[in-house]
Amino acid sequence: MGGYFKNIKNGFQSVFEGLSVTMASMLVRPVTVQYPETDISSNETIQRSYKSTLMGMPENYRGVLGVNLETCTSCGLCVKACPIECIVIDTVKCDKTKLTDNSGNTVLNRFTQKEALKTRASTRFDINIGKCMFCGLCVIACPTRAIQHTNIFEMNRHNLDDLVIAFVPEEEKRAAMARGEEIEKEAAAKKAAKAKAAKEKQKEEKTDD
Amino acid sequence: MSAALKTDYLTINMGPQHPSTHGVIRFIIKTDGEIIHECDPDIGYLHRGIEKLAESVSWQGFVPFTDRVDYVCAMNANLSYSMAVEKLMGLEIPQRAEYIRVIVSELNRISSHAIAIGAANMDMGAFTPFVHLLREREHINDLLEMICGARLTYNYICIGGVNYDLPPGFKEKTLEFLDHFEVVVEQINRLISYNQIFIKRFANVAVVPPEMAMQYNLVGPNLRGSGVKFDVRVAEPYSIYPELDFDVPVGEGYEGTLGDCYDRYLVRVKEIRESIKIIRQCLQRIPGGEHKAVVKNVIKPPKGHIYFRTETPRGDTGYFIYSDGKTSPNRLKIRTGSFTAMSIIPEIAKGVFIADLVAIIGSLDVVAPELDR
Ligand code: SF4
Ligand code: SF4
Repeated sequence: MGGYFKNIKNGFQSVFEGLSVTMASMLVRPVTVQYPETDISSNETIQRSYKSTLMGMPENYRGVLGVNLETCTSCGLCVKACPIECIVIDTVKCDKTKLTDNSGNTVLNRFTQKEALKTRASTRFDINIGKCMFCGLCVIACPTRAIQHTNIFEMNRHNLDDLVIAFVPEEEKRAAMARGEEIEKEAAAKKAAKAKAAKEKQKEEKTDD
Repeated sequence: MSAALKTDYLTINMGPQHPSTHGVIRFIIKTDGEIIHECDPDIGYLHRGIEKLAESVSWQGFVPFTDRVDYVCAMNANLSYSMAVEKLMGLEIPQRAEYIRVIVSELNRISSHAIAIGAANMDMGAFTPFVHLLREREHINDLLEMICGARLTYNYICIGGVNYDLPPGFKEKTLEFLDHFEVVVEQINRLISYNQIFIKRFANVAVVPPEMAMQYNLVGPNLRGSGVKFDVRVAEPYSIYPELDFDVPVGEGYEGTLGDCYDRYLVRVKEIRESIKIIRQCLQRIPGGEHKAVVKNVIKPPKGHIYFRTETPRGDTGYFIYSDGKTSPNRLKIRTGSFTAMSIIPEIAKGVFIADLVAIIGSLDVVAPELDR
């Protein structure tokens, strides 16, 4: 019988002990952020509306991928690195150019530390963000840091097709295709000329004998 | 007369969608209304064929999939797989990477145990501790997000080291968090662990004696809850664990019988403290240098097989890999702690109240995706 009452007493005691912790947490700063109303993109923006302890999104947040075609050499390493094949690129030949970024500096290859050369242009650079799992393997593999995560995390679209982001606009694609064909033709012409020259040389050598 | 009054057992389904099953698991329970006579777990609802997927992706490409094996402690799964492949290749990794790996996986262990403790409380009807612990876990998520940019599926530990170096300010922020969290653990203990009502619900329920725990191959905190002092970090040391100083807490029958639900629960609380200790030591000693060894884009480990296991929050996770020298594994098998924990449920659930089954699942910390893979 004594044990019974002791139980009740202990129960009450520990309940009040617990309640004191709960009460104390009323004095703690709120941590819940009302998301769509509050801008959560960085710590500052959160602090503006809340005295919250949360850090907000960091700069290296792995969101939807973005590609800077200025610095992309269309090497296809990102395609190979992706385990689920959500990047698709088609390329054509283009004029050999040294790569410069937006501010005019030459771009180095991260792995070889040499200047990155562009010999091919993309006519199609599609990323299917419906498939992508934001693992970042493509970003690690890219030699010129052309492909990067943005901090966009809102990915709902009205159409399924909108989930595929096409980075090469239609005009650029057509221009690159046309230029690619020209280059191919030039190369073919050069090759033919070379072959012809070689043949003539052979003939000359024969007549010399 | 009494024979004529004999009634049939009632078969009921618990799950597949039930708040206390932590994922999609189904229990087929034969009961007389109050007492369970037979409990048959039905698993496979979350089977995604991850082991088969491994055969068609590259060695590095499989790391993000290990995140999904157990999303509550993705870092530890990354670590297991990466170390297995490194062992297979005979790859040396930089010291700094070893330290970073231990720091992040212990942080992840804390967050996983926080969820386990919180979920066990919530299953018992105490919602407040769960919310408190989720709040704390948010801080860990913030820290890990700061390192690698993702909150849950990190893909941070890679073959040859870690993918990104520690950002500036990480050490200070982590120390700040640990100071804060030590206080919180004490608060949670006052709030729920020492609560008499909670103890009455958990103590002496579903006792697993040490011999039975070993027979069923329980691992991790579930095994240690039964008083068996076995921890892969100590028994088969890997990484830098031999240099670190930490204890392996075991159940001692804190509030009743050895190996009951309360023991398993309290072992987890104690492990959080040990993890904090480990992280402090690592942060103090972390050397400078590279964070990743030089690894080729396409790797082809030599022919052969390996089984490598590490200590994860849910026991030991082992990766068996058979390589035939190609660009992807020939066969990969994952052994997880949740699976064996699940197999003991029919045995210990016999003769308990239906309400206690929830306590059993909560105390065993079964996570469905890890169970089915
Ligand atoms: S790896 Fe980088 S440079 Fe190469 S195709 Fe992809 S985005 Fe372009
Ligand atoms: S983030 Fe991962 S899944 Fe997405 S495109 Fe890059 S490699 Fe593929």
